[in-house]
This record gives sequence, structure tokens and C-alpha cells, in this order.
Amino acid sequence: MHTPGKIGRRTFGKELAAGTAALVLSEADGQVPQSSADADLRAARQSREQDSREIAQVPLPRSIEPAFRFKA
Amino acid sequence: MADTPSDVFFSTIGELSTRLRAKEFSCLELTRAFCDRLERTGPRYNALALSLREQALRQARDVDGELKRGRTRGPLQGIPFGAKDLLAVKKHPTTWGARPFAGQVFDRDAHVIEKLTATGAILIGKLSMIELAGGGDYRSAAASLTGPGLNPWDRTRRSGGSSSGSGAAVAAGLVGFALGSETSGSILTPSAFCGITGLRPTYGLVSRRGAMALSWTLDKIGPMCRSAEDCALVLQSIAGADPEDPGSAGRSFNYAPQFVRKPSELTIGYAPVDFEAWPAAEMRPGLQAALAGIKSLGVRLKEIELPPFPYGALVGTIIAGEAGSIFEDFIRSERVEQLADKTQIAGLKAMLDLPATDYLRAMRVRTLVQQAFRDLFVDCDMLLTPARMEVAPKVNEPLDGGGTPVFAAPRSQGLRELIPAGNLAGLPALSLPCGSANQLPIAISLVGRPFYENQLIGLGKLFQSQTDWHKRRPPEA
Repeated sequence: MHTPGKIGRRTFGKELAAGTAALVLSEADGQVPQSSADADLRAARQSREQDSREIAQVPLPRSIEPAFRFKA
Repeated sequence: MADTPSDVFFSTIGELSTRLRAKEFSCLELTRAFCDRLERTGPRYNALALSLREQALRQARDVDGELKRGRTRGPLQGIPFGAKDLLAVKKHPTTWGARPFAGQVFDRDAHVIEKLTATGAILIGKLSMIELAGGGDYRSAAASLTGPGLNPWDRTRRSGGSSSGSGAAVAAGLVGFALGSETSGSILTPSAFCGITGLRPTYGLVSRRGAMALSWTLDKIGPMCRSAEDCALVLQSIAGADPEDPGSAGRSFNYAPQFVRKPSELTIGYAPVDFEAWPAAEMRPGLQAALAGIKSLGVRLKEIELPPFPYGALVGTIIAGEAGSIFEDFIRSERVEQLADKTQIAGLKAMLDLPATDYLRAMRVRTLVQQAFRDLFVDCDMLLTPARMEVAPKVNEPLDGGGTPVFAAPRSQGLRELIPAGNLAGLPALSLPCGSANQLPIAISLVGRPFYENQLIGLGKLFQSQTDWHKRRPPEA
């Protein structure tokens, strides 16, 4: 599920946000990168899809229910 | 208190309570001094969302009257505090840190505000936060209605999110304590970056009624303070069953130091790689000294590694499913474009494309994560790891690094994903300042099984009796 080795830029950013990144990034040269809304949305969707692909790799017995329960 | 000695602003709750009862100063004097400081210095760190001076001074007069009549309500009586601006305070704006919600006003206090008010604690201000608690995957520190949260230890650095104002305000001595919230890291991160003690309670121990919902199954509210014992005193006041929070566990918390197990009876799981390889190089000596300090208390250390799950992906998918539903109308409206962080806008929009099966699969894998932690806690009483693997980043540095080169990672994962993992399992965590690196705070965190707060606080208090990192003040404060 997590292959040790090289960590890419986007993964690193996600890990930093999630509290799991390990190293301080080098000094930033500039400001927050400006990009078009479409490119941002495309990147966000790709990130979601990547998350889903990672989760899909976890072996999951059919009997396992979600971690919440409806209470009557 | 025209010239309030600065040590007052850095006193623990217990110290302030003792001085109030000894009539060294009145509650009104104390509250006025904290309000002055919060209003004067809070904006310096972009930590203040809203001053509540008028109602605070009224309440302080009431507390003075009570103390005069001998009516005591416990250690929080008369202590000025601040609350993250995702908590409703009736008749005042509750902005959730976001421009589109700047005019939002509720007619009822959040449950935790009601509870603290009932103990006599004095709410003096709403504290800044990352807009919508950063649920849309923000990148910029400026993703906040009040601007980037600045770190009192170095104003070129972030105070950390999403409870950025709470972290900075406690660190700079602007409040006696603060409330923050955590979905995945938002108490632990600013606590670690700002050098304060923060407690993330077990999921369900503290009611979220009146708090902005980001993720029904992940959100927690907790104290951010000057010591582990202060966290206990605040948690004791805010924990408890609430039928109005469907996630409420129906349990209360009683701080009972007399029931804390001896260190020699504790086994603590840790991973050497978390102290030797994963942290930034300049942090390692301080973290290794902290590890040695914990060991010297007499605990048994046991090497472990987290079970291999895609914790970050799980948290991201669960937040996407739940926040996408919570904010669906807002995301579909034009108001979403008013958010400060463009990446977050895109992240929120992308949530609406998440298939239900992906969300449910994540929640089913989460069941496996919970089982794995139950197994882990058979052999360990608690887990120990650096609270963060890096010091507070520069404010102008985007979270995705803006093209920063990749680096080679150690082979062992250790416990480095304990923030998302612990949040998925609903576990309590305590962040303890343990040193500094390049004049910036560093911290360790202790994580326990559900409802293990008393033991975490007990060990944290013992650690803090042997160290003084939690008493250090930022140079400017």
C-alpha cells in the first residue's frame, strides 16, 4: 500500500497536509503557484482517483461493514 | 493591573486560579488585561477573529461577585479563554474562517461554550482558523479570512492549521487556554508548531453540537493549553454525553491522577526510524533526547510499526464523502468562489464526483484499521512518535512545495502516519513540547486506546515535571 522510495511533489503536499510528511521543504522562491481553475479541478479529481486506487488495493473481506452503524 | 507582569499571561490554569482566589487580582482585572493583550497582539499573528470584550467583562464582574460570596465553581472559574471560530457563540459572527460565511450568526452557543461558561471560564475572543478547517485540501497559509496564521516563535513561519489562531494565541500568552478542533491533525499540528500542549480527545467524548461539521465521523473538539494538566482540567469540563450530537459516546471524563498507572507498568510502542530518519535532520537530537527522557521515566519501550494501510488516502476519501455532502449546496453555489485558496475550491468541487462505493470502501477499510489498532494495543499501552516530522514551514511556502525536488524515504514507515491513522481509529492523542530546532518548537505525541486520556495526561504530566519546554516563551512574547 505504501511503497518506500521516492515521494513525488503532490504526494508530499498531501502528506504534509495530513501530518505525515517528513522533511522540511526547501525555501520557497515565490508565492503560491497560480493556476487556472480548470487545472486545479483536474488535479483535485486526479488526487481523489489516486486515493481510491490506493484504497482499492487493500484486501477487503465481503463481511466487513463500514465503520459506522445506523442506530434505530 | 495597569502593568500586568508578563508571567501572568503564561501562567497555567492552576496558577491563575490560585492567584484569583488569593485576591492577587480580580477576575475583572485579569480579564481586562487578557482582552487588552489579545486585541493588541492577536492581529500581529492573525490569530484574532473577534474580540468579545464586552460580554467577557460582564461575565468577569459576575465571577468576582461569586468569589466574594464564596461560591466556587472549580479551577476554570474566572480563567479567560479563546475558542476557534468554528464554534458558535450566540449573537456574534461565526465565520468558520471563510469569507462566504463572514456574516453568519447563530442563536445558540456551541455545547462546549455552554459547558465552559457554566464552569465560570470567560470567553474573551474567537480565534482564527483555516477556512472551513481546510477540508478542501488547502495549500496556502493565507487560506483564511484573517490572513495567514503566523507563528509567535517566528512570524515568517506558519502557526499551523487548522486551529491556527488557537495555537498562536496560547503560545503568545493571549488567552489562558483555547479550544481547537481536529479532523486530522488540526489540534496536534498547531500545538507542535507553536510549542504548546494540545489534546485530541477520543472521538465522541466531547460534543460537537454547534461546531462546524466537516466530517461527522472524524471531527473532535479539544483543549490547547500550557500543560498536560491544564488539558485535563479543560477536558473534564467539556467532555460528556450529549443527545444532540449523534456521535456522542455518552461518556464523561474525570481527571484522576491518583489512578494513573506507574511508568514501570506501561509499555510504549515506538519506531526508532521516527526519531532517527523521518524527522528533519535538525530535529533529531531534540526528539532523541525526548525519547530518552520518556524512557528514563521507567516505561518499557517496544519497537513496533503501524499496520500498512493507505491512511492518508482513507482520511482524504472519508472527508471528501462527508464534507461533500455537508457543503454540497455551498459547493454548487457561486459563493464557493469567494474562498481564499483556489486549491481548496477545486478540492471541494472534486468531492462531488466521489462515487458512493469509494466512500463506503474507505469506511469498510477503516473497520480493518480499528481492528488493527485493537490488536496493537494488546501489547502496548500507548504509542510514542514525533508530533510532526518537520518544524513550522515558512508562511510563503505552499504545502505542495511548488516544485520542490523529491527525496529518498526510509524503508520503514514507522509510526509516521499516526496522525491520520489515529484519527481514523478515533484515538486520543497528547502533543507535548520537547525541544527546539533552529529556535522553533518541536514536540512528541502520545497516543492511546479510546478513552485513555487519563493515562496519557498522567504520563505527559510526569514528562513535563522533568522538562521545561512547555514553559518556554516565544522571544517576542
